[in-house]
Amino acid sequence: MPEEQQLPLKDIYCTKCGEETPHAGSVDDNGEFVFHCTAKAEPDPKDETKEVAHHFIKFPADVTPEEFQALVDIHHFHNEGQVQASVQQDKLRALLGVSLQNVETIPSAGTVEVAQPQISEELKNSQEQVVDTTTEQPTS
Amino acid sequence: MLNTQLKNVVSLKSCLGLGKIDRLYHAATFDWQSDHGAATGSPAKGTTRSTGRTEVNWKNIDDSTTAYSASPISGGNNSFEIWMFGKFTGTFNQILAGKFAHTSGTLGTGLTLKGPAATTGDGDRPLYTTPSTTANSTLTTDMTTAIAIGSGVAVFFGATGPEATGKAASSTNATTYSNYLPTQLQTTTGAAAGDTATVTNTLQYQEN
Repeated sequence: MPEEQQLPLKDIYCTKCGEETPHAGSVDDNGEFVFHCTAKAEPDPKDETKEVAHHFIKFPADVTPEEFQALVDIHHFHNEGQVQASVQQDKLRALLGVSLQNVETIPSAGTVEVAQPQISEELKNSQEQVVDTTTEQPTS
Repeated sequence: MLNTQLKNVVSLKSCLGLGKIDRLYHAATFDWQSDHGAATGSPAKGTTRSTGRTEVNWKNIDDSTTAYSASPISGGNNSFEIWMFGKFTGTFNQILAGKFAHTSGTLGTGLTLKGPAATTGDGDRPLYTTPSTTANSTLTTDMTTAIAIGSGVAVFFGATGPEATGKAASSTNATTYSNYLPTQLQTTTGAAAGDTATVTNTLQYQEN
């Protein structure tokens, strides 16, 4: 693959299977460069009778070495599941034109205190007075 | 050149799994904060600023520490306003497309949640006033019913603090703040006694 030989494929390994430099690249019928891991394959989620390469990146065949390496770095880091240096994130966003949408949530609550209606207190007092009056009546 | 071409390479985006990247490459660091106390300075802000908020509750006191159960709102009265906002640090190019809404949880009878109007220009960003239990007439958005965040009110962003001038729909400042996101729980005498349901307020934004 002449294109592959011209590209700076250094320190590349498959972060899923752990194999070092098992990758190959080719230019497909659409003129796009396809980069994939050849070490292992896994069932194609769309058709379990077929297998697909672990990972692949597909991009225009006229990618520059610098652009290619940036994408490889990004792909690499993505599959490690780690947040790497911000420079790679910036490259990713610049190259893909990505805008990330995030949401931040926060719970809120309160307690409501309802005062006893005043009329209830008055009735209670009135009843108490009646009781008191009854108990304090002279016995003569 | 490459940027334009890559936008059309669906397989690359699929491979990179942008859904996962939303989290893996979530570079901006977000922090909920709130202001409390007497308005001070110009533009006005709270005397004290509480950071790292994991909850904000509507209470009959203006602070960030008292448990809401220890400071109940008397039925027929209102809570003190909560003047919260978001702070963004970390690595990002810009923060934009802000939305704020009550997105889940159902408030009971006699409870009304009021919130800020959409910020559509620097001049109409919410301006801090000393929190009180007086109904805040500037909180013109009825947030009582949960809605999808996409229907939330617009939020602007800028430097220095939520109170600062210069808020815009997007911000490239290394430390960015949203405008204030004030809310107030207003009650009637028909409100049931006891704890309200816990509701979730959401701030949505984009970063790139």
